Amino acid sequence: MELLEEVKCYHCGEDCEDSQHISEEKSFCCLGCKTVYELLQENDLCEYYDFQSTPGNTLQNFYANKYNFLENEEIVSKLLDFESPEFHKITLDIPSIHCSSCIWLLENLQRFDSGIIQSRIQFSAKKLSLDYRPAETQLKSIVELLCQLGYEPEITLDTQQSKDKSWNRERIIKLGIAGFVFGNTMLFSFPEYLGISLESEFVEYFGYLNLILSLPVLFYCAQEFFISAYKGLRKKLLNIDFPIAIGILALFIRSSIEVLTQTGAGYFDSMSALVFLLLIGRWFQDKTYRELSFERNYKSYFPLAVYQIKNGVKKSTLVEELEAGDKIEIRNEEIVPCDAILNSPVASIDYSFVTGESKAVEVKEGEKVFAGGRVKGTAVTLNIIQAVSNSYLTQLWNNEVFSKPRIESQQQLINKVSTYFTPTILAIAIVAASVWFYIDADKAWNVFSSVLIIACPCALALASPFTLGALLNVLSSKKFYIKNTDILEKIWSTQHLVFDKTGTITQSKNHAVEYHGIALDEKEKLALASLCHQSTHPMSQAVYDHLNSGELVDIANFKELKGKGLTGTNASINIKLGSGKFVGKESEGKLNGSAVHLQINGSYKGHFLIRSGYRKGLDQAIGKLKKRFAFTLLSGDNDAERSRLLKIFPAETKMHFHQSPMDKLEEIRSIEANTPSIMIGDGLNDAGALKASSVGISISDNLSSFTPASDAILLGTKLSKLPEYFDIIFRSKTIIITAFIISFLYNAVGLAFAVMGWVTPVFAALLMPISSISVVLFVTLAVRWSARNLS
Amino acid sequence: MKIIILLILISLIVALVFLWLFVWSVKSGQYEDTDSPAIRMLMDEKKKSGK
Repeated sequence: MELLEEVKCYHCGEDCEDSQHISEEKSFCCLGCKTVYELLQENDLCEYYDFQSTPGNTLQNFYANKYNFLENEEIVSKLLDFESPEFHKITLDIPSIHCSSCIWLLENLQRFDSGIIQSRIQFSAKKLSLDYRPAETQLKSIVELLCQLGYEPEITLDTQQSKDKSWNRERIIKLGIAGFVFGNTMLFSFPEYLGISLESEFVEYFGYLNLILSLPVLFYCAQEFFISAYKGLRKKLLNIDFPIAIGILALFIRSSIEVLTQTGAGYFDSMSALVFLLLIGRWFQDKTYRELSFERNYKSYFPLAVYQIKNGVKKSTLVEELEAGDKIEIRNEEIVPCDAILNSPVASIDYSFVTGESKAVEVKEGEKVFAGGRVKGTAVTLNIIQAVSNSYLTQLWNNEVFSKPRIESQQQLINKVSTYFTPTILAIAIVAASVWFYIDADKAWNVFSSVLIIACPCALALASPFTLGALLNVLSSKKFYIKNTDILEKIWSTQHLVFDKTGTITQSKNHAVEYHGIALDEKEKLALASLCHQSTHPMSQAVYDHLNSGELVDIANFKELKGKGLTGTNASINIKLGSGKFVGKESEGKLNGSAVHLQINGSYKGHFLIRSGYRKGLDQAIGKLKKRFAFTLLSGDNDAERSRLLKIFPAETKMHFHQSPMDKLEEIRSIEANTPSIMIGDGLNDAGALKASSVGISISDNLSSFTPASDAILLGTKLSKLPEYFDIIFRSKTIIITAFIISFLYNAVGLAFAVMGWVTPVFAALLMPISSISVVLFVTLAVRWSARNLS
Repeated sequence: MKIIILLILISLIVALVFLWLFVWSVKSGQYEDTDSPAIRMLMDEKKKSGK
């Protein structure tokens, strides 16, 4: 057997397969990559490849008219950060930024276009800030240049991201101040640690210094614990922040009294250490991914503007301003923004965006076209029947599921524990104090405050954020991105998995093609492959991939008839490929999939059966998942695939076909009424269901592309790894419970000391950090260990 | 012993200066993007060839 060396594209690293795109002995997977390479070379920018091998992005779905709306000055000025006649400044989101080469190339944009003054990248936020001279260049041409280079920006009119930035800053500042006070109070507590007696004249000043230093920690850094404890109390809930707040207060009050009455040095070091560690825990818990957007609304999917035809004049108009009765023009690859009636003779509309179904639908003049459909082929004119806000899709979005913020579950493990924990601690403190009141009344107050201090559940409070935070990091490195740690806790209680079919468990690129009919000879195969190569229709692409022929031949008289098929001639071979009607073959009963019929030189040869292929490893994954979950399958398609699906899913799986987005939403609601469920879907049609389920996981084949609103994003190729991911998520519960037990043991020892009245500042200063740090170490190592086999 | 109090005060003031610098650097956005400046400084400024 001949061993072929695998050829990777020099630009993007994809497999080159059998492409013939070669420039200067470098292979490229497609014309796009080759063009980018040549473009870079022309501008003397090939250093791009020095920073990283194969840094490029494959060109995705850029098409010529996509950014026409940027000709509209009104839109441009809404997008700009700064605007003057000579100078424009804009910040663009570019999700495909991924390595140092990207920074280098994008910061050298002025070498492509002299109108650009400066470009700067914010790598972690994946943003590009651009300064340019509007007299010399236009935003549209800059954006198109970016698209050609494979860095398509994401342009939407909603801007709401600046808010969490300042919030994040405040958190870092709080952390900094608490850390600073922690360090310094420890320094000033040194005499106490070393047992230097209080007789030394300067020691008392240290106490005052510590008291002053702790004030900002109490009033600023620890704010959120008090607020949260107060909110919990008002809802009659004892959350974990309540004992923490009591602990901090007890520490502060007792220490202040000790210092002011000159009876001791206080526990200010323990207090600031506690706040510092807890803030680190919170920060770890709240880390979210800035580059991935989990919340999206329908506006991010729709075009910002389309051409409106008024009195025979075309004008680019904002979609929101369109009204019923307006006439619009939608060109090839553009998305119809609102429900409309077709005004052109015929149109091919691809609803894959809405339904996940990859076959284009043919619409005739006078028929209805729904919002979200993508026009394939020639431009069409449409009469709007409903403004954007009333269209079918928007109605789904305006469903209450989307308007109501989810009620945060109060079932977090830690809060469950603390409802028992807090009363117990208070009881111990009161009992111990009253017992001591009879033994030695002077010590009663000491014991009472010591119990509250030692029992402060610092280690307890850290166990869960560090476990879940570490888990979040591990999973995201495996391309499973989860919005926040609450979602992980929600997954623990789920028992039902709901799958969408098309696009989620099937993969559009992965077609299964079978040929039924009279065998073809090599020449015919070659001609057929060459014919299919000419067409961009997914069906002809599938046939082309199936034939997998060598050197292509020339095709004469190539014709592509929308919704019918292809014709063409090579030498003496006349090929007709397409629907049954088109080749003169009436349908022969129900076929399991979609068929493309073939006719050569007037005689019928047979048909290609094209079925959507399932993702690799799906059946094994389902086999593992069925131990833990029950399944439901929701599909917008017909039930032609039922028998194949039954081979993959267990027999008791509920399957629902012909589901509209609304049906899916209702189905999820009825499941949710009994058991918490996880919905796994893609596409806009699943958005409602994703939102209504306890946990919505959206599947994306390209992480930088749009994904509907969801709680988690999973890369499509990793779907088969889902059982492993769930295993470790469920295992994390055990880790947290073990950590709880460890910290309870520390608490028990500390409480015993406190009840006996033996707690000294040194003891507190040692026990508290040791317990916290050992718990954090334990959970971090445990998560790492259980994730060691994850790939 | 007086000298120790003085030294401690000085050390505290130095520490406070650093704290202020830290707060200032956070507020001015220096921690917003910690990746690109680190990469950017390694890239050579290439002389523009005869343009």
